[in-house]
Amino acid sequence: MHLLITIALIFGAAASFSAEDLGFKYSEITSSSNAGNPLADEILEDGINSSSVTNSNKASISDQILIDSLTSLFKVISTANKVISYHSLMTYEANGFITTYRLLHKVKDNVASEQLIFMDGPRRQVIRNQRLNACLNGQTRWGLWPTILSDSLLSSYSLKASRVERIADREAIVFEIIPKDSLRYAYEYSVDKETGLLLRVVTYHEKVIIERLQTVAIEFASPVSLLEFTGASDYLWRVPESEPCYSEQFEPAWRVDWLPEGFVSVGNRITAQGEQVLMFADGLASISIFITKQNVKNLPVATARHGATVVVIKPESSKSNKSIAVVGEIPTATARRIAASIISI
Amino acid sequence: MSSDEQSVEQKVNESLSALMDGEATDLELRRVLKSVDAELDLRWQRYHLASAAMRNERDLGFASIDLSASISRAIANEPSLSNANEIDSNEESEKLTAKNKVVSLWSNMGRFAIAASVAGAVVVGVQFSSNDLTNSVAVTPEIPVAPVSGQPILNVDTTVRAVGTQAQVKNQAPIVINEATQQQVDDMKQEVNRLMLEHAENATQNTQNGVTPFVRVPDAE
Repeated sequence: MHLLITIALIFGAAASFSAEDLGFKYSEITSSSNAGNPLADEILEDGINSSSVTNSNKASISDQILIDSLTSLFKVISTANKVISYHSLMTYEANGFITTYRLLHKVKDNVASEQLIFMDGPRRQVIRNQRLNACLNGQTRWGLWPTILSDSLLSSYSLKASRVERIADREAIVFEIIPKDSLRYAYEYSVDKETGLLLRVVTYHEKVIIERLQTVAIEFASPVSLLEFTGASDYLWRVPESEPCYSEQFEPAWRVDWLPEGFVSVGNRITAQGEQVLMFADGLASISIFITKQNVKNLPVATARHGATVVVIKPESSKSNKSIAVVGEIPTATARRIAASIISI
Repeated sequence: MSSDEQSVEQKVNESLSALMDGEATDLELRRVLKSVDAELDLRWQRYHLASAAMRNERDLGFASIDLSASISRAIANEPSLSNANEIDSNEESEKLTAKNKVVSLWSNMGRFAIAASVAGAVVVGVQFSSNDLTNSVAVTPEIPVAPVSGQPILNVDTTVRAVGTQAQVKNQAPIVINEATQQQVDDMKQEVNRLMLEHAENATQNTQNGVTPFVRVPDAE
């Protein structure tokens, strides 16, 4: 259904082209141009209205979005994910291996439903249903589609549009996202020109590619026609729906003394095993800090890496039976420094 | 308007009609999109050239993106972090008080019970304090260990660089690990995979690309 709306609007725009020809003007829609804050479903309703009235004021809204900052780039990516239903195939390269995935992304009734199927190895899949409302004051980032951490993005990275490339048989604009310090990674984000969906993400560490997630094929369809994939799987993870607009809070018994500038707290939670997790993000990368019971004895420090993700585990102290784990898409040195800065309050 | 153009337009209109009826094929969808795209494409390129010239730079600095109107409008209406408000109903606000319920959502289920059995091949580099060097093998911290499934990348120059390990082994002397610790390493791998799964969930919550952080969760053994 949503696709039909999209097409109808394109038609509306096309009609105004032929009527006004060069009267079409380039204009930018900036991040602050949100006068009202309609619900996603109101937006869609809006779409239905304007599709039936092709030459209303709404038909003159620009089809071009100026991407001149990380905020506008992420706004485009985020919105595309909240509006478009699609089905895609992806490859992920890390540690010298390629694995393949199938993704169903369906937006319906103000919920984005996603199903990620691992196409290699054991039959695994992840299912997530994410509500698309925003919360009072925009403070809560858990249980809803995440907010864009504008300030963090702008202070931590710079953006450069580098080229146009064909990816998954589609035209994509390639953006370079360069960190302002060496404490985090650089990225190349390739965004579909037509929809704003992310088609490829390449992660760099000091000019070496450490992981690459790439869409190889994508099909758009109405959410109604997108059938659920088979439920046959050996392992199924259902990303739990928590109550929206509620931040799970507890008084952490731990303090993180050092984080790269731009990383802000995005909440706390408690895992199924009862561990405290402190979460931080800079708008692009995220860090989880776990305070765990020491499951493995006599293993003072361990470092693991898979693609961009690093895991650093260290004991709290020689006497303690607890250990600290820092997990995130950050360089090892950064993770170790964070781990060393965590102290019990 | 030439007859050619008319026939193209007619085809586009027919395709549109099919789309409205939900009967469009992929080909028809592309035809419709392309009919609009050509126009925008030209503008996009012109704009690009002008801006690059203005800045007198090789890189583009910024770019505009051609989006369908519905997406453009959705973006315009997107609440920003600073003033996202009043979107949730009172009903939602009432749920704010349902603290215990939330906590139990997180803590009750064995939703990650699976993680232990999914323990797999990540990279583990371990630093031991043991001085026992007998019967030992030298390993380098953070050695990439292949996942069980998936295809190793061929030894083609560009690809190897693309996923190389140079960045990961730099400045780190080999360390020593003995056989008695193999069990510990295996345990650690399981623990690492569990943590990565938990983290993928956090990353999904805190980044804009949906469920894709889960692709990073390593493979089973």
